[in-house]
Amino acid sequence: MKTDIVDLVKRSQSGDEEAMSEIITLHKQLIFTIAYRLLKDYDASLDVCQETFIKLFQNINRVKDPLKLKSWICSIARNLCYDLLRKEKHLNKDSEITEIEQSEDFTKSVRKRAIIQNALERLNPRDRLLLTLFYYENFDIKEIADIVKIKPENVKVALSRARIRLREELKDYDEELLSTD
Amino acid sequence: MTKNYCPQIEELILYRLNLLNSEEHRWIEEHLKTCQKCQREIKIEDEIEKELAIRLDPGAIETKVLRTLRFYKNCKGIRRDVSLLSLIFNSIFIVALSFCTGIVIEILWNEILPPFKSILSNTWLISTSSISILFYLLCLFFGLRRIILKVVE
Repeated sequence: MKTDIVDLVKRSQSGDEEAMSEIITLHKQLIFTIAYRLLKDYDASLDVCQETFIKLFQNINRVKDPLKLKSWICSIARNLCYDLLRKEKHLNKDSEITEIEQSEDFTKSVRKRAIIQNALERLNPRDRLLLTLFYYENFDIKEIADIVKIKPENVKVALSRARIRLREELKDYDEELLSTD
Repeated sequence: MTKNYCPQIEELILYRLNLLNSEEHRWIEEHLKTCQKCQREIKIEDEIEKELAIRLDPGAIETKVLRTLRFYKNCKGIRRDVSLLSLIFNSIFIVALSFCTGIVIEILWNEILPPFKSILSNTWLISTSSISILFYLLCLFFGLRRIILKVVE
């Protein structure tokens, strides 16, 4: 896997579109998930996802350590999302989730998802990013620290606080979270 | 280690994150075997973590990204970033230049061809204005090229 990514980066640096396409395929879900968790807007997340890879390949020659590619891509996505959040504070559409929560037609699993998404929404962007990175993939503490821009020794504390805050946001939804379809 | 009370939610979360020391970790592990209330809390944690681990798929974006990259590559070399200030100055300069040239030529032609003065004057005003507008539009296009290209693309 490690040699794969090194090879893919090298080929991308020499303009190989097949390698670029593979890099996109490998990372697109991660980037889209991060963007969606931060922005909670499908179209904006899709734009961020595409823009992230465009920026990546425009600067691919600056990648010195291909093994850090994943962290690098995540950092680009994080910056784009933060820029958007700064520009458009109205981007988060609370009403959509509220609608889902209140509708009786939706299955319990969809309601459960909406409840958790809504609770995530009430956390600050850094907490959302931390939780996404930690639970999504096997990011180690150092990588998370690099992306979130905090000291590695503070990651565990920040993570546990984010997790506790999320639990607090969900304290009134125990029954819904335990229900099955 | 035995404690005859339930751990706090915070402790259970730290347990899930594997952030407790080994002694506390073992205590909660033992406690969970018998306490239904805490088992329920752990189940809730499972549900939350399950949702947090969900992967969202943006669909097939590869082609679009590569197409955009190819497009930018083709545009490489074309100056796309012109500041608003230079755009304004260039426009003013070109419009002023057109009118100054017009006035000079009109003065000269008045001396040479007095009978055609009124016709030439009107024609000249129309043509200089048209040229100015044309130059202005060209400036605007080059100034906003990046945005226009993005929209077209």
